[in-house]
Amino acid sequence: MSIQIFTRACLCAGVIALCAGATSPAAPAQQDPDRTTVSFSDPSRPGSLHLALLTGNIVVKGADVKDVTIETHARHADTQHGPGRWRFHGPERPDEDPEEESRGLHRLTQQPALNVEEQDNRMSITVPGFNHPADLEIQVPRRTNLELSTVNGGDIHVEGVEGELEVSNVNGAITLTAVGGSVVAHTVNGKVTAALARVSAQKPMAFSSLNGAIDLTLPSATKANLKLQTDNGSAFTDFDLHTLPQSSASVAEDTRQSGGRYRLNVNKVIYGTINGGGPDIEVRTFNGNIYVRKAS
Amino acid sequence: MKTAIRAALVCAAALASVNTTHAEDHTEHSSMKQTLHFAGAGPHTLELRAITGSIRVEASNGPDVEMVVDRTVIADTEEALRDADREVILNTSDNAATVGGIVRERYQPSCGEQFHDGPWYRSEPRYEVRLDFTVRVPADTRLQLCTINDGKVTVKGTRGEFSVRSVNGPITMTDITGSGEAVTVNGPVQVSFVSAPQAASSFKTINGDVVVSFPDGLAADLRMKSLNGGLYTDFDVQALPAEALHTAQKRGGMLIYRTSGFTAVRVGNGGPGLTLQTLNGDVRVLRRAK
Repeated sequence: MSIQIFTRACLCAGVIALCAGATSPAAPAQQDPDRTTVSFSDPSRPGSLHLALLTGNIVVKGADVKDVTIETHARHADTQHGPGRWRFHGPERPDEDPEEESRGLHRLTQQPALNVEEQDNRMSITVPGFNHPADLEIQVPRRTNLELSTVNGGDIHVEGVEGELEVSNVNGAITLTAVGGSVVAHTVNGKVTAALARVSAQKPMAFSSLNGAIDLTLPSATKANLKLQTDNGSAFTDFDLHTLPQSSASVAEDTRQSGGRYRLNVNKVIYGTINGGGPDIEVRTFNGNIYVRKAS
Repeated sequence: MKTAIRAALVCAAALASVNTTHAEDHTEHSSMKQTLHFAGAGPHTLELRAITGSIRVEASNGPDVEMVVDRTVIADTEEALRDADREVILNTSDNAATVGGIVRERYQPSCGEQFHDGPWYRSEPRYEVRLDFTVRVPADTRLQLCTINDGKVTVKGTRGEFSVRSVNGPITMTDITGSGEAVTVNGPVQVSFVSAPQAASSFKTINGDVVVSFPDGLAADLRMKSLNGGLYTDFDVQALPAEALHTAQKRGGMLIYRTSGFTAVRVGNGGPGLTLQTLNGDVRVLRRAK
């Protein structure tokens, strides 16, 4: 144990003490406690919202507003550990507490902390802490670009937002309702449901899952080149799909000239155009059906 | 207060001192006992600032402060042992409203002090010096205790205000009364009150649990926070509105908003604000066993 280590420890302590001082509460209680409103620096241009959660649901709704309003919901304390479905509030389950020392005590629901940073119309939201699931409900101006992700115990739902939407989940579903613009949506375990009211011309899109169906609804006049692929499932559509020859999906690899081998990969990919073709839309899952629907 | 302490006695003037030296491993252990007398108008305060070593304070019935300091030096060489004797000293202060001691090392600021000006890098000292304090104080004594390494702090039965700080070590306060702060970085903070604090108090650590027990009938507003742990209590509590968003600060072109992340609850009819906070650990607010 050297003295230099001591001094560093001491410095760390000092820094921590400073940080603690900086975050001590002195804020005027003007805002609704669970609700936070933050403005984009230039509301005349579409802003972009970035949110990466580790555990929790994300709901984003577009509205005729200029500011972003963030509501945080703590999950009821007894659902913060252990498997099962998360819920906002529910009856206590005293058998769920694993800690010896805390037996017989009420576990209080912790208010999730929230950090929001805004620069050049890019707003970034973070929720610190690994063990505190937070469910966020966010209202944004209708024209906003979104980059949303969560990992555990949460679904992502976006409604009425138009822009470049990039949505990623791991253990949960993605649902996009009445959205517009271009979409890239990916999850690992969950269904992807997307209903687009408007589609940006010339913007490629992708919808994918590993374990889950993909249900995509497009405006009936959408011009696109579709690339549909499901390994264990079927693809359905009510669009008039002009399929392209399957051979285009096959990839030949010939290295015989240089002492190698010939390899032909035949992909289970359906290529086709709707309304004469347009930008690429890739729809892909491993386990699950694919539905491409015409909006009524 | 500082000048008073600086002008105070040096450890060498101890009333009683026992030395044992083991030449083979260059370890030296000595123990000194000193009685410190309060003088002047209160509040009478015990101030101890150590660098390496524990602090143990217990309430007694006597009017004076009885301080025992166990000093252990481990050195590479005999010469380093002598250096340590010269370079690490205890300045004590006596006959004042504030009595106690401050450990001074040649290169190291004492607990709670700013770093010296001068080069950051220097040669390693070839010794380690540890001073463990065991102190008996009048129960009403106000406590200002601070240590850094191996800094276990134990307090028992006192009734005065307290400021107890450590960096690497647990803080345990048993059967106390009064208000103040108990803050460490690495180690749990455990405090049991005989009667609830009448003024705002805080109990904080970074790595460890914060466990504080109060008698029945507690009336207080609790602010609690744990980044990677839970908040528990067996008191009946009533949620207070979450704290508002911490207002923006501007850094470069970036606007930053932060919430405090504290969970606020009221016990009984509410009262002084008690802050309990850890990063890695649980916060437990307990009803004291009768």
